[in-house]
Amino acid sequence: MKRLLLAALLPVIASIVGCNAFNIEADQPMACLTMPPQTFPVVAPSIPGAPGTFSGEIDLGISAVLPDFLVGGSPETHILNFQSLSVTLDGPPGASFVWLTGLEIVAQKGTTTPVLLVDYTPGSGTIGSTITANSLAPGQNLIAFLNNGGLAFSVSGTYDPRLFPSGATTWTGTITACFSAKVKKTFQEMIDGK
Amino acid sequence: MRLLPVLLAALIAAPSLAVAQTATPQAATPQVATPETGAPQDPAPPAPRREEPYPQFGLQLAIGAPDGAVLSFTYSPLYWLLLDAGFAYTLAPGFVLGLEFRPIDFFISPIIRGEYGYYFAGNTANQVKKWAGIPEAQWPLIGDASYNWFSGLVGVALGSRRGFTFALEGGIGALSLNVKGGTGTINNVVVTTGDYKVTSFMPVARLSFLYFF
Repeated sequence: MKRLLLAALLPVIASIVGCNAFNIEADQPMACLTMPPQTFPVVAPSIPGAPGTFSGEIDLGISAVLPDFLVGGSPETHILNFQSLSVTLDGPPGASFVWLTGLEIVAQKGTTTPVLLVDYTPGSGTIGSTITANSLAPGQNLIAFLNNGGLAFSVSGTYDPRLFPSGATTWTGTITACFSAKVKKTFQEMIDGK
Repeated sequence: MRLLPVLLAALIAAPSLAVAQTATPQAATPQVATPETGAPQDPAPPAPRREEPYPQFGLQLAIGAPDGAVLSFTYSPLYWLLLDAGFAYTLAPGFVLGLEFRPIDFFISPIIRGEYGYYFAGNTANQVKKWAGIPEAQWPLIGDASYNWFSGLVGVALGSRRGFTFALEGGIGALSLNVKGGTGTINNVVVTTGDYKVTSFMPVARLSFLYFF
């Protein structure tokens, strides 16, 4: 009889002491954020023949738009990876990125070490009004940025002034950034509110 | 490592099974004295006892986590083996399939059970949004949700294998919540989420009432 009772109690005992073994894991393979159109002022080259430049910063506000259980926590339990980016040029029909010679996206905010996410150089093919680039650091966990105030993209690039629309001093584009997120917590961590 | 509690429970229960199988009591044959002689005389050989067959079909009501409430039909081809299939309802309708061993035909018997359950998409997603404290603006990002699980349980059953039994079981399980993605506009940002999955390795528990007929 004692053995039977012990056999019945074992799972209960295991459950109580096993809070570190029991866990919950959420895996969001793709979440894409499409920002409102962003305008980037361009700086014409000071030396004839040199490329022009542009730059700007976009605060993604990820913490406000993705569920907190996915992105609100420590880097030990939460992972946020940048996967890809696309930029669509806002402009008249036929407008294209033909003038674009380079685009760089760096994740940065506060004191967190910046991470280069995209270094885009147009290929030899036809360039349309949308460019897409995959992450240079798909395994880099960006959760630390959120813990330090948020994740912002620093956008910078170069353009060919001969191909850039004459008289224009800015260009406007819609940026879509895609991320994956993963969270794994033990029951003990959930009880402790981590 | 995760199977350790189940294996331990099975090992501990095993000797009891052996005892139950070997210790079948022999019926004592009483010596009867005749009134004339006072000498003991062998009675007439008893009529061979006809063993009632074990009932094979039963109806079971169970409540538990993550089972919810389950009403199932049970089939027992052998007295120690039970198969059940039932309709379940918690946040949504679903079904539960079970394979159960009750190795001892006694008032109290150990149970070893394996189970698979599936809940269709119903009200699950709405409850998840509320329980997880997700702001209403983000609700469009969470579509329909269904879940399924596998579990292994051990426990005890009290009652008669030929009638009513009550069982209490506990164990471990692997649950998978499958959530459809969605699209919503939050703070002027259009957010599109793909389908995602929440899995959990968790304790499970079950309380059941079974009636064989």
